[in-house]
Formats: sequence, structure tokens, C-alpha cells
Amino acid sequence: MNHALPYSLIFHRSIYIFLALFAFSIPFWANKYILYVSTIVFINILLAVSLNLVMGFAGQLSLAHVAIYGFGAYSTANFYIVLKIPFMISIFFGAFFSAFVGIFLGFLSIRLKQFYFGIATLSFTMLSHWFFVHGGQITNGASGWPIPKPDFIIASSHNGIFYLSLVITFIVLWFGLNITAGPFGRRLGALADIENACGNLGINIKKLKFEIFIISSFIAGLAGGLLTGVLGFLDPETFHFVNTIIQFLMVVLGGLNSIFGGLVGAIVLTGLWEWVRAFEGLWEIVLGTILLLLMILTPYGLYGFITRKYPKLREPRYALNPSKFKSENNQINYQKIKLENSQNLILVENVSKNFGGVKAIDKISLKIKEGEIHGIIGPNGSGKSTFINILSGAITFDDGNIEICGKKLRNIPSYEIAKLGVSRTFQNFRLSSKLNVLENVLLGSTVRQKHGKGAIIRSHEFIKEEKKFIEEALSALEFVGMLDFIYSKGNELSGGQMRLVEMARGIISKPKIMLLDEPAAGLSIKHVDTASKVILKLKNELGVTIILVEHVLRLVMNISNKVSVLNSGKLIASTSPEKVKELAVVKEAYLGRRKI
Amino acid sequence: MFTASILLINGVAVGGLYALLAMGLVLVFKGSGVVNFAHGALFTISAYLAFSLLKFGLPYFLSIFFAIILTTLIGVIIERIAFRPLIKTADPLIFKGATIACTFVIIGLIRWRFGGLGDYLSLPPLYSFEPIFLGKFTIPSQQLVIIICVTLIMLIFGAFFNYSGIGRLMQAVAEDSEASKVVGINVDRIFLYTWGVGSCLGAFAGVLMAPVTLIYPDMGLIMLVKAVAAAVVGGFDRLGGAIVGGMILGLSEVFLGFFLGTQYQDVIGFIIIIFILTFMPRGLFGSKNLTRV
Amino acid sequence: MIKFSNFVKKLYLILFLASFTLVSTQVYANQGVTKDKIVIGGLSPLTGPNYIYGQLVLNGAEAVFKEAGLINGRKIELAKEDDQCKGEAAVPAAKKIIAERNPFILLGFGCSNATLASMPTILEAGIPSIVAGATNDLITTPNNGLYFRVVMKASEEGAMQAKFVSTIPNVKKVAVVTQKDAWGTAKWEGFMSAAKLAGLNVLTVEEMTVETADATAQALKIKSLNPEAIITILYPKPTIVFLRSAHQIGLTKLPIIGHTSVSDVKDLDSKINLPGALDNFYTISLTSFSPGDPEATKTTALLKKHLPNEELTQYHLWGIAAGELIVEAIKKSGNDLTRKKFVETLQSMNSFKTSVYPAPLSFSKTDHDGYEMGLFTVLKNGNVIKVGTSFKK
Repeated sequence: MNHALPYSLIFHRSIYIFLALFAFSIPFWANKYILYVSTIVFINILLAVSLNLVMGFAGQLSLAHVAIYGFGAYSTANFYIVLKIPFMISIFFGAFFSAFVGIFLGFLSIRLKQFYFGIATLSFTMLSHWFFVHGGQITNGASGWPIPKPDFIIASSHNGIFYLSLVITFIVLWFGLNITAGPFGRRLGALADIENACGNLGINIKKLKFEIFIISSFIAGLAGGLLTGVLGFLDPETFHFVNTIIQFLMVVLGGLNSIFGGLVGAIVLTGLWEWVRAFEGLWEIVLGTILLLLMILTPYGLYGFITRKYPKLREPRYALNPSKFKSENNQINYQKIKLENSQNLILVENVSKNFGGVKAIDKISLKIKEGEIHGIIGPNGSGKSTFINILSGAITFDDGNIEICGKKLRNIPSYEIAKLGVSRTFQNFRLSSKLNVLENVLLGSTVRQKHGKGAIIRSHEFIKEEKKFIEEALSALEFVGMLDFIYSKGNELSGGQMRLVEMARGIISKPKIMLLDEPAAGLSIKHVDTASKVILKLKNELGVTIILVEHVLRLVMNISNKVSVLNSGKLIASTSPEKVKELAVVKEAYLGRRKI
Repeated sequence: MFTASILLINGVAVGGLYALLAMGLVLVFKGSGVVNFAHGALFTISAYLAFSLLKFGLPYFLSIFFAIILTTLIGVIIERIAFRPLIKTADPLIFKGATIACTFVIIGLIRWRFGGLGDYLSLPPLYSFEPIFLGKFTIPSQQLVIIICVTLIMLIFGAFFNYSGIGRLMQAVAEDSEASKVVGINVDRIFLYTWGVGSCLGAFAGVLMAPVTLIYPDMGLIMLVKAVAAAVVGGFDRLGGAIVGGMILGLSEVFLGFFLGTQYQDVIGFIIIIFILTFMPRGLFGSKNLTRV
Repeated sequence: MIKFSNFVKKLYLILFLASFTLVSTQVYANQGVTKDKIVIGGLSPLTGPNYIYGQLVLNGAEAVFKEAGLINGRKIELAKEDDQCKGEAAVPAAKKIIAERNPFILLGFGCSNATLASMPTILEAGIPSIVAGATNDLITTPNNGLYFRVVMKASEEGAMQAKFVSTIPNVKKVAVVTQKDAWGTAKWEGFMSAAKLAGLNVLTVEEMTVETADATAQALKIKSLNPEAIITILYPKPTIVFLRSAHQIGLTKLPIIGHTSVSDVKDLDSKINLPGALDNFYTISLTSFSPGDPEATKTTALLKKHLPNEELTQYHLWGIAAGELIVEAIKKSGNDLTRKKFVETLQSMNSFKTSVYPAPLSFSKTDHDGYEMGLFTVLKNGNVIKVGTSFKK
């Protein structure tokens, strides 16, 4: 029994405060060099956090951050020097400009996958650098642009920019922690690992990608603006792609997938970078060797390494501590849906789907009643998975009509379908390895989330809602019998266990309909029985209508109310399980025309 | 036309070098699923080794030969010591970080060892015969040698990869390492060979390129980026694609540099990448299974 | 209520103690001068592709310092700090060396951008600086009182190229190949304004970068416009790349005017491996001889004596000149060595002969650009020959 995860929000806050106090005290005892380096540390923290959000949390290999950093710096300089806007406001304008550029990156990430996206961003960085060099009046080109140090009313220039950086960094860290320890962070975890399943979880991938790139670019833009003030000189070489490598190293060194990882990486790398000055001409060798060793020894990053030894230092991943909740606090309550004049929850009329000349689905018509467990069977290649994919919105259909809960489904995206109350499980286990079991289950609550934005400031409504969801998630896990595993990583379970977790995830989205795509696939006999029991419970205790695509005939026949048989895309039978077993046409479909 | 033919020959020569480097990258990627960013450093090492051996007094051919062998060995050693543990356990991003750190170290070492001799060193060309005169222009010996060598290397390599036993095994492992294990292939050993061959290709490129671009510690960096660009254009997981990608990159740089303006020459490659990726998100020949979903 | 556990207390204690390691513990005596030591800070690129303008120059100076031994009872200690030729590294490098070593003066400054970036910091600390590499005009013009330059500045170099071209008979139309980085831009701008004054017709300006592998496009473009001379503003490596492509299509029959970066023509010849390519290649030499010349024997020996692993290059020569100037200025400033005295002494040196430059260095209160004369050289039959008139500012 491992309910208690040893971390504490208050403990973390104390560390936070100590760091803040320590940082605040620096100008009082440090020499100008240390002060300068500390300011650079803050800027690097911002860059690391910004890159970590995109690379670590969201799993997008973006190499364009140094370009965004540059756009932030140059735009701030233009606002400050050319348009004569006060420095602090210029920084924010610069950050907005960077966020605007980030939209383009978001667009690229939607269009391109993983590795190609990385290359596209690298190209973007090279082109941006070319622009900084050839930018004429706008960027002052390769010769560099000296920027007069900004004056602060209450402090000298050096101290002023230090404190400004400090304040901005702490706000960004606080913001980053808040949004990642909550629904947004979970959605990012889903995006990173199970992107194809996101739609079915009610996550609008396009919107999420734009969001993450805009936020991350804004932060990088802030860093650029601050650089303008502290360095006093803008040089295109600062934004050369080689510096992307430095930022990348910071994130990797500290630890992906955690805000404090970015913090640790930035501090360590900046510190090391300056420390190796002692080696003069040999600094590259020394630094490279140290980094190489660190990476080999701590493959999960320094912060990951530290938190393995001292779990108390792990940053909070939930808004609240789940070990404080008991699952019996909240019974999952479902109301049976009242549909007017209609007993059919799902209506499928003459639906067809072609894949380049092959008719995967050929004029299928089905009616599925509320409260039914409807099995769908058929030999390989008969179109079962295609059918489920169409119902869940993963693929579009060509002809015919589908209505779910009275709403016509004409090529609406899967996340909209999810919002209608349709949930599904997947044949090949779609749990995110970046999240633990509890977080994976919490993903199911995405469709019901109303106060997600409140996470930024930890609003009262948000906390209340999170509490409710956590309690429901725990109840759901108990329902499927997986309560002992809530802190295991999403991919550390056996197949059967993952399937059950998927179902729990489905449950807390309070679906009207669940689509189970081969729930017995890859399960041992024992687990098949458990799955059967859970499916029956879903229908009997929670009133969920279930469509079940399956190969394991034993499972389907035992629990279904009605069974439909597909063959070569056509519906060849749709009746009770007993009758289906007898039908010759079904036998023929499976076994061919030979006599047995 | 005079201009077009000069552009063509030089473009093909440069493109051939990019292609060679890209092939090394793609090979390792296909073979072990990781992108080796230290590839550029290997390229640099081989050039410096050739220079040192030549200075030491070895005849030209032997210098080149040993430089390539040594570099291949170094590539394999680095893989065994530094990367093997990481490939298995860590996030691919960590691995990339490690290869980058490795590059740092290598470049630093080279600069330390050779820096005092001047900022760049030169390697005499493979053959110093009189340039060939065709009509009004000359084909310098080195460009011709490059084209011939690159073609030979690719042919030999292609034959090796497709028709030899080991080559076939490498293909199998690249296709599906799990399945290969199941049928009894010593996947570990094959990884070794893959890295070896990849490093070898990089070493060849270094030795061929050195007389043209001269030897300097940072030569690997920009070449690596160009190699990656070439590989991406071709669709990162096809060797043939790497060749095509390299050619396209080299020819574009030269032709478009001439027609659009030399100030764009160094970013042509990236404009092409963005252009191609916008319309063909998987590169020209990239297969659909490149990114497992 | 916040409880401070033991662990947290330990953490804070560690942080607190660690902070002391950051505080500077070396406090040097007034202005970097003690009764037996003078600390000179070497701020320049020690690594990276531009290390030739930093590390090698400083090594030349170091040989001179070591050879000078005790000056008025004090030995010179050269403390180097790497600015990596980048603004973002130059600022912390300057702050560090000032905070930790408090150098008497600073020397080096191989790259313009790094120099400009670190200037406010250094001026704020009031440290006189000797610039032995960077050419951007802004470093000494307008005169900030503390920076002294011992190499030509960009506008002067460009003007020299233009003046030289105008002395070649029948040459009015020229083509330019330049790097558009900080180094190249400064010189190119200098050339363009001087070219206008000299009445030259600039047909085209082609670009290359330090890493450009192939200059076919540039060479063809230039050939298609039929210039009468070509100006190159390139580092040695891209110069070779360009000359190769140019030679391939017969451009090397035209006069090609190079730059201080390639003042060692013999070295260029040994690396280009193309007979005939340098027949018409004229370049500016800041020094009156090249490392391979017979006149270089003494200097070569000096370097070998103090830095046995170094081979003499043109960059070492610049450093040697700077070193000699500094040693002389320190000597002349006497026992009571202050920065103010040093500046005044330098400003009074209006004719200091170095062992490497063709003309003496000349400073005054208003003019901190000491370098007065450059030479054009060309390679004829394996010998470096001085060409035409030398150019005074």
C-alpha cells in the first residue's frame, strides 16, 4: 500500500522562500561579476523553463528557442530605443512580440511530426540568425547594437536589472509550477506521449500546441528583453544556433519534465560555464567532459537524480496532496440519461468508408440502445477497428449518417465527440509514460473541466474542482481494483493493469457511451475475466452504454446484449449472442466454406 | 553553357560531400535509432589525423588510409564507452545532449593540440594533376577526385549494404531490432558494425573535404548542420534519400547562390528545408513509419 | 505555520557557506601594481575560430614581457580571460578579471563586438586598454581617453585598399567579396566610403561567410560583370576558398587586393596548393616582414625561447608590437606607477619604433590610434615584395 507520496506543498514553499531570500541578498555581498552572473542565471532559468515546457513537458523537439530569445531581445531594443518606450514596458512588448512569433512555431508543430519539426525549427533558427545579421536598421546587423543601460528609479542600473530579473523569474517559476501541477500539465503529458489519443480524451491538440508555444515563447521573449538590459549590447552571434545547444544542454542536464529541473540545469550550467574560465584555453574540454559525465551518470537529469535520493524535494504534481483523500469520500453517481422520444443512443445509417479504393466499411446500419452492451465481432480486416475509429472521431466517414445522443456527427473532431459523452479505450494501451497512473486517470476529467484556468492562481473554484476530480479518480481506481498502483508510471504496468486504468480513466469522464476496442487484447486469461467483470459493472452500476469490439468470442458472447458481425466491411448479422452463434453466414465468415 | 556547367560541377562536388556525411548520419540512425551529433567531430578528427600523419612523414595514401581507420576506431570506441549505456536507458534527448557534449570535448582537444600551428591547416589534394581543360574552363583536380571518390564509395557501400551478409544483417536490425533479436541476430554486434561503417563514411568525407575547405577545429559543426539538412530533405530514413538530399543541397547552394545572390548562399539549405517540409512533411522519400505513434 | 525541518536548515546553511566561495578573496593592491608585480589583463578570444586574434596575439606579447624581465623592479604578470569573440562572454570576462585581479591595464581585444560590449564595464572601472586586433572605429573614435589602438582601424584599412586600387593604372571598375560579419562589415563600410571618394565604380558586393565551402557562385557572378580588379575582405580560409573558385575560371589574372587578415602571403601560398593563383594577389601587411622571412629570425628566436610550442604567425607579430609598446610605456612611467601616469606616458609617445611595424607608433592626447603605416605586398617567385607606396594615414 503506497498511498502516501512523501512530498509536501508547505515544504516546497519553504525551500522556495529560502531561495528567494538568498537571491535577494546577493547584491549586498557580491562583487559586480557575481551580480552579473546571477542576473544571467535568472535569464537562463527563464530560457530553461521555457524550453522545458515545450520539450520536457510537451515532448516537442523545438530548437527555435534561441531565435525567439533573439526576437524578444531585438524587439525590446526597438521599443526601448527607437520608440522610446520605458524599459520595463518594452520588455513586455518584446515578450508579446515573441509570443506572436511563437504562433508560427505552434503552426509548424501541428503540421510536422517530431523529428521533422525539430529540423524545421532548426532551419527557422538559422534563418532568424540570418535576419538578425542582415536586418539593417532593425537589428543593426553584425556589428552589434550597443544599448544604454536602463535607469531604475529606486536602484542603480546593475542592481535594478538584477531585481527585475529576480522578480520576473520568480513569477514565471510560480506560474510554471501552477500550470504544470494540474490539468494543463496533464494534458501536456498526454500530448507528449499519446498524441493520437488526445482527441478522444477531449483534448484539442491544435489549441494545446498553440497554447504551449505561445506561453513558452512569451517567457523566452522576457528573457531576451532582460538580456538587452543586462548585457547592454545586442550581437547576432548571441542568437546563433550554437546557443540553442547550450539551452538544450541546460534542460537535459537539469531534467526534462520538471520546472525545477530547468532551474537546476540553468544554475549548474551557468555556474560551470563561468567556473571553467579558470582553465583558460582548455575550458571546452573540461566543460564537455563534465557535462558528458553528468549526463551518463544522471540520465534523468540532475534534478531527477536528486529527487530520487530525496523524494521530499520532488516538485508538486497535483494542486493538492492525493494521499490526504480517501476513495470512499465520493461515490460515483450517475444519472440515467433521459432522452425524449428516442431509445436509440447511437444511430448509424448506411455509413461507408473508403481507403483508397478499398471499402473498409460498406453501408453499415446499426441502432444501439441506451444501456446496451453491444458486441462487434468479425474476422481480421472486417472493419471493426475502422468502425470504432469512426464512432470516436479518429477518422472521418464518407457516406451515410451517424447520430450520437441525437446529435449528427458529420466529421466533427474527436475532442468534440468526447465532449458529447463518448469515451474509449485503445487496443494498444494509450497511457502516457510521462504521467503516473493517478494522473492518467485524471486525464479523463478533461471533458468536465470548468475551472481549469483557475490553476494559474490556484483559485478557489479550481481547488474545489481538483479535489472533486481526485476523489472521483481514486474511486474509479478502486472500482477497477487498481488503487494500489496510483503512483506507478503509466507504462510500468502489465497489459491487463493498463487496460483497467484506461477504463478508470473513461469512468471519470462520466461517459454515456464507452467504446472498448479489443479490451481483452494482450491480456492473460485471469485478466480477461477481470475485464469482463468490470465491463458488466460499468453497465449495471453506472448505466454506461458499451460498444465492444472483440476477438475473444468467449468474452463478447458472455456479456453482450446484442452482437453485430462484420465481414469485409459489411454487416452480416445483428442479433442476440445465442442466435449469432448459430448463423451459418457467421460461421462461414470466420471459418470459410470448408466442412468442419 | 559555360556558367551552368561550372555551377553544375562544383555543385555536384559539394553535394557529394554533403551526401557522404549525410549517409553516415542516416546509417547510424537507421541502424540504432539515434542521431549521432558527434558525427561532425569524427569528420574533423579524420582530417586532422590525415594532416598529422602526413606531417609525420607517411606517404599520402597511407596517411589517408590510416586516418580513416583510426577515426572509425575512435567512433566505435566512443559509442561503446559513452553512448551504449545511454542509448538503452535514457530519453533520446539525453543521448543527443551527450553526443553534443562529446563534440565539445573533441573540438577542445583538437584546438588545444593543433591550435598553436595556426588557425587552419591545409591538406594537399589527393591527386595533383593538371586541371582538365574543357573548352574555356578548368576542372580542378580536387573537385574531379571528389566526384569520382564519392561515386565509388557510394557504389561500394551500396553493394556492401545490399548484397553482403553483414550488410543484410544491418538492414534487418535497422528494420526491427526486436525481431532481429528473436531470430538470433547478435544485435549488439551489428550496432557496432553500423557505427563503424557510419564513422567510416564520415571519416572519408573529412579526408576528401579537407583539401577543399581546409582543416580547422570547428569544421565539423557547420558541416554537421548541412549533413542533417541534406538527410532531412531526403527523408531521414533512406540512404538513397541522403544522397539525393545532399545533391539537392549542394546544387541549390551553388545555383541559387549565383542567381539569387550570394548573401543567401548559406541559408539556402534551410529555406529549402522549410519549403519541402511545408509541402511534404516527411521529406522527399521519408517513409510513413519514421515516427512511431 | 511553517516548520523548518532539519533538512531545510542544513540546506540553507550549505547555501550560505557556499556563497563565500563566490566572494572574491584576492584583493590586489592599488590598481594591480605591487612593489614587485604588475598585473596585466589579457582580454581576448582564447578559443573559438577567432582565437588567432586573441590567444596568438597575447602569446606574442607574453614573449616580450618575459624577455623584459624586471622593469623598474617589477615583473609583468599576464592574466588571460577568454571573451570568446562574443559580446555575451566579453562582459562577464571583463567583470571577472576586474573584480578578481584588478589589472593595471588590459590588453588584447581581438574582436570588435566583444570590445564594444565590454567597453562600458571597463570605462566604468577606469582601466587603460590596449587594442591589438579589433578594428571597429567606435572603439577609439570618439576618443574615450582610455583605449589605445595599435592596429589599423576599419575605415583606415578600407581607405588603404581604395587608395591602392586607384594607383593601379586603368582600373576603375571593381568587384568586392566580403564577409558580412562584424569584422567584415566594418571594413567594407570603410572601403565603400573611400572608394566613392577615389572615384571607383563598385560593380557588385558578394558575400561569403567564414564557413562557406564553395565560392563558385561568387566567382561566376563577379566574372559575369567584367571588373578590372577584385577586392577581398575575407579571413584567410575563405580567401583560399574564393581564390580557388576564381582561379578555376581565370579570375586570378586580375589584380586581387586582400586584407590584413591575410598579410602572410607565403603562408597563404603554402596552403592554397594552386600554382599561379597568387600571381596578382596584393595584400596589406601591418608588419614590415612575414614570419618566414629572413628578417624574422630574431623574432622567431624570441618566441621559441619563451614559448617553445608556438610557431610564429603574423598574429604573434602584432602582439609583439603591443608588448614592446607597453614595456616602454611602463618603463617611462617610472617607479610611481599609476594608470593615470601610464595614460599620460602613452599619449606623449609620438614616435615609438617597434621591431615589427614599418612605421613608428604615434599617439597624442587626441589621437589614440597609433598605427600609421601599412604596406602592400605581393608574392613574386616565392619572395614577398613590397609594392607601391606605403600608406600613411
